[in-house]
Amino acid sequence: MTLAVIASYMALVLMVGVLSHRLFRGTGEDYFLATRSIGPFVLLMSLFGTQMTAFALLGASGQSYRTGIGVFGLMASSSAIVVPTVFFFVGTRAWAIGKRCGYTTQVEYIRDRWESDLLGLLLFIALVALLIPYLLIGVMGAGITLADISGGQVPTWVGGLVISLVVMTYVTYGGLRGTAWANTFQTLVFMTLGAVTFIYVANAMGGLGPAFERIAEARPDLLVREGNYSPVTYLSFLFIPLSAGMFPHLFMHWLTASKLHNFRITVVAYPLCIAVVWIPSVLLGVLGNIDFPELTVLESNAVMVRLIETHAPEFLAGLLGAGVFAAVMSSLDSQTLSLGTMFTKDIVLHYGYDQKMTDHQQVLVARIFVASILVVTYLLSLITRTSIFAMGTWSFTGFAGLFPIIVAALFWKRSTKLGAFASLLTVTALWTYYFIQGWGQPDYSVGGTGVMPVAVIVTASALAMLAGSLLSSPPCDATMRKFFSA
Amino acid sequence: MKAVAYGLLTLLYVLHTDVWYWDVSRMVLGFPIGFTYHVLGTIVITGTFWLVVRYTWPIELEAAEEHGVGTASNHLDCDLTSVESP
Repeated sequence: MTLAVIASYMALVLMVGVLSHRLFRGTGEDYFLATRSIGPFVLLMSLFGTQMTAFALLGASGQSYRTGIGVFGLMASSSAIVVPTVFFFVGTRAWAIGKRCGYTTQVEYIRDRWESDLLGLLLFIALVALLIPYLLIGVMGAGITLADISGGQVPTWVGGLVISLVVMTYVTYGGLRGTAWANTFQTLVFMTLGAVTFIYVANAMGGLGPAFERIAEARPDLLVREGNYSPVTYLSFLFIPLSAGMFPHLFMHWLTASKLHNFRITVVAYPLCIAVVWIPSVLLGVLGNIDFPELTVLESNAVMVRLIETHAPEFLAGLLGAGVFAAVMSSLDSQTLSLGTMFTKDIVLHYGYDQKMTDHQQVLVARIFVASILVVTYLLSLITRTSIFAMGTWSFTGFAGLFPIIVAALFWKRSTKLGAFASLLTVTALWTYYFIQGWGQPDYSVGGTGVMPVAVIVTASALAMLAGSLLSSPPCDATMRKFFSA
Repeated sequence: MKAVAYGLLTLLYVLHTDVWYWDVSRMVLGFPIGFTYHVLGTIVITGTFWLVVRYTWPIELEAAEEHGVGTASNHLDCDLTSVESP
């Protein structure tokens, strides 16, 4: 029954993706950006769905299982305030510049903004390197979910394989329009199913009141932040959602908006969408301690699945599995497509084939890249063994570190390519250092102070941008006029 | 109103790290207070962003809607001079 529900859901997603292909206009612009025609509701759903992944469902519930209710403030309400701020200040301006200049990727913009091919290439490498672990979160999450829901009958490699094949099919076929439509459908699914699951499980546990009483007796530490997170950690975690400003897949989705006005509903409704998804995840993670008090870090990522198995009918377990798959696929598709787009636009077309490829050939190349990326990600998922939460945090840390680059590009006329180089190299050096220091230590902070590496990296990146820019000459007048009014 | 909207948004950033409830496990509205505070916070954040969007919308950027989309071959020559710097 469970597997049948999931299989039916997969068929539905494929159908949505295939249906969207009927609107495909055959051009590169349509494949990469849906001809910049996306309306407000689909923009909200696709941006939100792209941001929410296995990290929000499995990672968050696993983390709250271990550290309690503080995860909501740490990750959810911080995102609820920072991400719409980024959309409002950065997304709208990126949209305007992207539309006027025909940009499809961040690298195209940054390369022109500071007149540097090398900068564009280095940024490309950094973005791809940081996106790979983010892709892994999704594929691994799918494997864990399917294995747990099937009681171990379906090995973890099957879930990852299934999800990779489904995403590969509708992304290569439908391009960004297919991705946006599938995202919208899937976002509605996982928002609804998360809430339904939570209500059902909470009722089955005798209601929230009695459940929390049991937690208060057995694990009172999970109901407070004291002992789990320091205020400094909370404060420095506010830097993590800045990553939204540098995610290639979000940048691409921003550019799909048909009008600037479409951003309004996204900015306003985003915090509520966050609450709808994260409240069930965090609470179920905490309540999981009642039935499963001694899960390991890796096992705790599947605590929500175990709760469903224990307290809900098999049909609901299947629906939750579908919900997790929906969250995973709604991110994996955009991330994969953005990588395919970047390889096509920033490498193949930029380095030699710009005037030599037809639209049809561009789309074909992008499709080949999309398929290849998914194959590589899937193979990596088979040999990766670590917490989804840790992997997500390190990926987000890197993207957040690059945030000063897009801010300087959009807002600081005097910024220079030397500043951008300095910022990029600073992020690379510090991220690598902290990654080596902190890998395998879930509670790692800078010098044990509670300060997350992301706070140091973003600050140093901004300072490097400032110093590098002030020590060098700004771009030529033509470029300045191109991007800023007199 | 622009100053009020931005001021409120800034205040919410400050209030995010609620040290005053850090070790309080009292239940409010059926949940631990440290959780309830942040859930209610997301509603306040929504209202604040409504104000921000309503009163500080970057209307000058909408000029881009009137222009055709640039192409990959001409984006080096694109004209952004009517987009005001923020």
